[in-house]
Amino acid sequence: MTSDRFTIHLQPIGRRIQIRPDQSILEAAQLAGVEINSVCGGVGLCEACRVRVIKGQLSDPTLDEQNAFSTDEVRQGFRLACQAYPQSDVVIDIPPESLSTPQRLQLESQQKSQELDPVVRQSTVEIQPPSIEDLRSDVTRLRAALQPEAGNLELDYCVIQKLPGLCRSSGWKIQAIFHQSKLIQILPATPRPRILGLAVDIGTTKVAAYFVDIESGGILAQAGSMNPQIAFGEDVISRISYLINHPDQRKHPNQNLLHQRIIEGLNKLIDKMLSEIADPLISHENIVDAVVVGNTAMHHLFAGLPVEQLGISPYVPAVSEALYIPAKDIGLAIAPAALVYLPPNIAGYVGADHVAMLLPTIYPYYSDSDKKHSKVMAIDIGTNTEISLLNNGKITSCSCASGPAFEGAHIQFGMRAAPGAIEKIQITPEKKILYKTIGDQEPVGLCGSGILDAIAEMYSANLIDSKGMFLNNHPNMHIEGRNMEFVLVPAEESGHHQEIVLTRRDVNEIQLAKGAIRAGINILLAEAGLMAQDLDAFIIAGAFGTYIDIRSAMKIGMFPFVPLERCHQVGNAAGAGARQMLLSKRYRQIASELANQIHYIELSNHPKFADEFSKSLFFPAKELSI
Amino acid sequence: MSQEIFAKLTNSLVDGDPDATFEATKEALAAGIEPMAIIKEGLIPGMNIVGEKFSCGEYFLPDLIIAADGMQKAMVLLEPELLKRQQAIESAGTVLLGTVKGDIHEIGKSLVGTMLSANGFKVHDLGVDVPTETFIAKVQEMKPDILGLSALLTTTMVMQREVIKALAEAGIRDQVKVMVGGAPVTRSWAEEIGADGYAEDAMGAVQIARQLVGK
Repeated sequence: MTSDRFTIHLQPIGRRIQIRPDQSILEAAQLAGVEINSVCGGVGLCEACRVRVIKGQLSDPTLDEQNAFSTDEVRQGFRLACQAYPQSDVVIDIPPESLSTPQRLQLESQQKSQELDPVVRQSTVEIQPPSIEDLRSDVTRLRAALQPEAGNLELDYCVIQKLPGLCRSSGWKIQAIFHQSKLIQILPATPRPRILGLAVDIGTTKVAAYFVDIESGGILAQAGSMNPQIAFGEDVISRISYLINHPDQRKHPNQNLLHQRIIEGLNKLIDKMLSEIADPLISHENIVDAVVVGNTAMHHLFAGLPVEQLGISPYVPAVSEALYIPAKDIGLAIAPAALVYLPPNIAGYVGADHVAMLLPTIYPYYSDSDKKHSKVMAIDIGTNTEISLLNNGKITSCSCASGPAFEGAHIQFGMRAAPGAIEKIQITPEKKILYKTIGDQEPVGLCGSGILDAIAEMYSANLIDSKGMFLNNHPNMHIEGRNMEFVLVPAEESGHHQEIVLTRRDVNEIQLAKGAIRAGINILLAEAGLMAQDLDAFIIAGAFGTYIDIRSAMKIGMFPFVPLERCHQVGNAAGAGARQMLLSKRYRQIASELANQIHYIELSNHPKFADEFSKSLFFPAKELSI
Repeated sequence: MSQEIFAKLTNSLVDGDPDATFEATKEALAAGIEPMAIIKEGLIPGMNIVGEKFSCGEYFLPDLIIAADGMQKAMVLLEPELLKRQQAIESAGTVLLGTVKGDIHEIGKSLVGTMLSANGFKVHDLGVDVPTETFIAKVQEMKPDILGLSALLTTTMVMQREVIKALAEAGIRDQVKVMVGGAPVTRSWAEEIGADGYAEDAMGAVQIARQLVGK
């Protein structure tokens, strides 16, 4: 008997899902909302989606799988979820290393004094109750009550739906909430409601969300999570190619799984923050404004816009101007008529998140007539690294494909910044290795800042040379033919009783990543005719940038040498910029002005890129004292 | 004297110092050494050492990229001299190379080109973002032994399949061997789309190219 659907049991999570025989186990997990790691987007390359079949029949192992597993592992039933298709009902075990793990997320960012000039405002309205002599409709009554203050009042349909009930339950005294001249929400007037705004920074890897009190400007709650789209690929291109390879998902961009997952993820964060506030008078209905920033692909996926064109050169966005989208149109669980603001994008790979990041970093210099001629560079390091330079009152930006190595991907003992990750390393003059882990737990791997420290310290201690070659200068250095590794933590000290090592291959990955970043920095500086030493400020934003030791980044040549007092690590500047736009109309205008004014430099076909990149691959001379 | 300069050229590539390669090439030309000798006795031995060190795991991609950069800097000086003398580098076979439409990644494709040149292949590099029709027209015009298709994105590797299909439609599929490569490309992808060769890296590409022209 053949069946057109099989049931997949996903263990140990205990989820079940039915799929067709032409859908892979990875797709089953994605449909079931189980986040299996997938770096390559399901093409059998990254070997991150390892699972074990416990019961049932799967398609034969592919060539990629035969390469990925030892014969022993094959016997135990190990498979790559993206390459295995069901031929019967099956039970699948997902080992913990294949699940996306909870992480430390970076939310804190410098809070600057904020001007208050929000787009949304509220006022109390007393409505004349009806009587047998006065049969006007509720809406007509509301208009009459609002007359002096709003001539051409626009009413959202959702407001009309609520109006009769609310008028009668609240004694004809209601609180009207306006977005410009549009009435978007009504609430009981007593006690005077608090109105909240939602600020969101959607990163390719992480999502950060904040509740802000629109009238006081204070942060009421904040929450972070992994971007649930990770199950569809770790980088933007993998996610776009998932959609290209699934035409059925492409028919309705506002219904595809990636759009749905990010909306669901944000709604979970909203619920989490509401339960944290735990105020019976504050619900989804009180969230009346939202600002969402992200790179261009995240922006498009959130807004339900097609992204296929972003995966192919010349990487043109569907829209670059600012957008307002009614929350109910995309299913965001806030006041349904609230208008979600998406700031403008700059280019295919430089999105609204970078515009938001510029507001608290470069804009204060740009807007100040005394500082306007400062030379300021701001850099946000991620899977894509965006860099902007202010020079002569003009801003130039570029984006470098630095890859996920600093997130721990492609590094043998790499991991994200979660408990047990080594975040700092020092090698003493006696060549003793000191380290610190997140949460002070037993070490299990290295996060980005730890990897950077390890390489910088090994270079300083003469354990690797300027080309990244390993030198036999330490008892922990193991060099056997092609295998070159340096033991950072012996097996007996680690959380999993395995040695934690850094390999020559790991160093190579970082050389490629830091080479791309440095090439971007050098090209921006060269186009402006500047040297790094000319910079008045060097601002490092973003999660990874907050935790790194800048001296390590300079030692390995990822950053040029800039006097340390001019370097500023500012945390999640994109989130801070999103909050500024939530609280100020003026900042929304500024965002549009910046986006129009910025000169974008495409690096991938820049004539100097290959040369700058190859020059930046090795480590710089050590004489530079830092 | 010339032995010394050849050693300098070779070492500059092995040490990854492109500026030194450029200077040594200038010096060699100034000393009256024939450009063909500079290539054969100075540069190719250097690239071969780098390639061997890469294959045995001692060198990594950065070393290869930097050596290729040095080689290219030297060729900028040498090519006009070769033209003047109407000399062509002896060829192990001709390779037409390009990155597919929609993809503007240069470095990996150029690296393969440089390693193939260093190993005696005559390489025509069509650049990046090359339309399928251009590949077809150039294959018809130049009749290369091998067509190399690079794609660095999972969104653009599908174009490799399109080019192979178009070759078949133009009736010239059997006239040229097709090699595919790029970060997201795998052996099973190469088999699926009917390519003749696949290699993981630039050194592997040289081996495959040799096999393909050896027939």
